[in-house]
Amino acid sequence: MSQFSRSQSASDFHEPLRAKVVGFSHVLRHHGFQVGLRETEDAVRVAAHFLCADFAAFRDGLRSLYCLSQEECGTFDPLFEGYWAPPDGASRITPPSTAPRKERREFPGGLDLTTGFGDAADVEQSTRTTSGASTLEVLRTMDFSQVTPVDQVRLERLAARLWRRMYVNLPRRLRGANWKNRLHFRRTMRRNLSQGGDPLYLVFAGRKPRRPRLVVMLDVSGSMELYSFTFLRLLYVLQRRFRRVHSFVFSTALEDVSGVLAARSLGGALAALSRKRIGWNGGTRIGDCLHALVREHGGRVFRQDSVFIILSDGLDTGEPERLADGLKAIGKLARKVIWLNPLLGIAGYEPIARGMSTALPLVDVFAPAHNLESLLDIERYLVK
Amino acid sequence: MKRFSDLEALDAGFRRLGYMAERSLLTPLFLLTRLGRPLLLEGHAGVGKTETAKVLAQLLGVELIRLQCHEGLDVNSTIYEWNYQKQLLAIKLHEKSDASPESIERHIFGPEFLLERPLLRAVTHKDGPVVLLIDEVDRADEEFEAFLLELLSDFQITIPEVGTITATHPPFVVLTSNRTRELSDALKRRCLYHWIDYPSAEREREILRHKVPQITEDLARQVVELVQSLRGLQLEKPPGVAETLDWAIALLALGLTGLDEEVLQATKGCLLKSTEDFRVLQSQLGSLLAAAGD
Ligand SMILES: Nc1ncnc2c1ncn2[C@@H]1O[C@H](COP(=O)(O)OP(=O)(O)OP(=O)(O)O)[C@@H](O)[C@H]1O
Ligand SMILES: [Mg+2]
Repeated sequence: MSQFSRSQSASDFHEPLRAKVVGFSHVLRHHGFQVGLRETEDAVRVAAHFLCADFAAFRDGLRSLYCLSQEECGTFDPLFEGYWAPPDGASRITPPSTAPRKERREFPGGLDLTTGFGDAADVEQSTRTTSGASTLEVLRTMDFSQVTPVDQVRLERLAARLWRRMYVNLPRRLRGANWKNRLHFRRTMRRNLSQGGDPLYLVFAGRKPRRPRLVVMLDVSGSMELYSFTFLRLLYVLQRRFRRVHSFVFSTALEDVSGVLAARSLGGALAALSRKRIGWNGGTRIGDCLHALVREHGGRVFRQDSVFIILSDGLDTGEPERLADGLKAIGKLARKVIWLNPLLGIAGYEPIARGMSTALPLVDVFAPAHNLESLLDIERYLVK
Repeated sequence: MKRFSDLEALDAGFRRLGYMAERSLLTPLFLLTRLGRPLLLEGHAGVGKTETAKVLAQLLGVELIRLQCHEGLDVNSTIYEWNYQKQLLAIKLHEKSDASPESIERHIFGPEFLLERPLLRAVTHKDGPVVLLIDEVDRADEEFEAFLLELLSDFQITIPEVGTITATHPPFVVLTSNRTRELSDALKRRCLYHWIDYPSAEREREILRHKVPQITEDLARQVVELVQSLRGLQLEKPPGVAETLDWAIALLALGLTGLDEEVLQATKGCLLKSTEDFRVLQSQLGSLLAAAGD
């Protein structure tokens, strides 16, 4: 049992076993698992305790150490078998021949922001080694219409991380300087001193601000073709991680996609979306869709703290008055109306398209949304 | 605190307390007590996640401290709150004295004015460790998750007015999640992970025999067959072990000894919760009963 005492360093155990476990960590990392020093150290302890005594327990123990999800458990079992006990005739899995990547250090305390230790982390790391414009910077500022499929994947991981950072930061920023969720000592004391023996009064410094709910409406009409797919993937990240988000897509009609986007895999979500036969790519009736949102979903999705975001190029084929009315109705339900327009990133673009010029005076924020950088600015708008 | 020496002892202990654990759950539980890492249990509703933590506490003979998560959990409901009433009484007591406001403030923001909530209680617990159950953590906000992360890394809690409190006996932490959303990788990486699947038919019969001892072998078999086939359908809320038990008890209470269409119609409310799922059941009635009857 002494193997498990936490004071004893795992390096006391004999080296061949250790080397074998480290090799296994490399195999797993190669297959996309997030394995750090801690996992490997603990795995050596588990191996020393169980490897010879109880092979099934050894496997169960390593599985619980290395896996982070049900899906990973599924990937883990064949890898475990192939490495530790290949069936007769099968060749043994060996660690990838390339020099093992350096073990990543745990971030000291606080939130580990590198939620993905895959590509996105590599992207960030490479910023320290490449001179000039880093890959990270390139990805953050690359116009969505220029993104290749390979970048797409990396962009998504980066997006997931940055969104997360935004969501963790946001409550702190909302809280601002003047909010304290505690008794306002001096005021309370003053108030009560004057009350003599009467009921006790408590004076609080303020109420806790809550994170706003988001209602997002994405334009998937033809003119947005180059952007809507990327936005959908970003919406997927948002929707999957945060419950306070309602997502809709629209072109000539409006469709609630929150449920679909909450699916386990992006592929599944996209497949389900295409089954829904939303009027992809044919005309844009922004006004009608805004009205539909208010009429059919308004009471359910909006709270008084909701922030409404519409992602659209504003190239409307409906009546400008209808669009204006719709925006006014939304403005009554939401605390803030934000219009993100990918065209705004294009040098020389002026919002003079019929729809856009009508909309401008009715929105609180009009901002570009052609790259990740610009989307992350949403944080600023949410704070006020 | 009691200890168990190996997996067999752990298994026997769980059985004695009425929990039939799958073998694959035992090692993570064992490691939880030996490596001092929290254990994250994910799985569908009613597969025994919460029960695992309760039984573990019972087996170890230690207190179970439970934090039920929901949206909007904050520091005041999970860690500590100041006992304002008591603080004010203290202020009044000091009114007549000539203590300076500063010294009063120092006094009333001291440990004795602190109301401990579950997380702080788990850390400050005096005699030996406790089992800390953080139940349905996927229902809490992201913000709270970031918070937990700090607690789970070094079992320390910082209270601005008091300082940092470090656990003398780090608690055994069990987190559960129905996976209604993904937890952050950072949190998951702090934990041992185990996915609790639905039990095998054999295991489920065993659970049934144990919890509902009056049931006949034949009825137990039919009940488990049918529940297991139901889980294979695309249901909104597939029945968990809890539903199996409820259903079996209902069948016995009605004096029924076998399954047929009428019985199923009368008792389906024990198994399924939504009209959409009732519809699916209706469409598959024949084949379900045929499979269970064999
Ligand atoms: N392996 C088992 N052995 C004995 N009883 C079990 C087992 N699994 C589940 N149960 C019983 O099933 C019921 C439901 O279990 P529990 O409440 O722990 O489920 P849960 O996974 O926490 O569900 P939820 O996600 O709904 O909270 C309990 O009454 C428990 O006793
Ligand atoms: Mg539960």
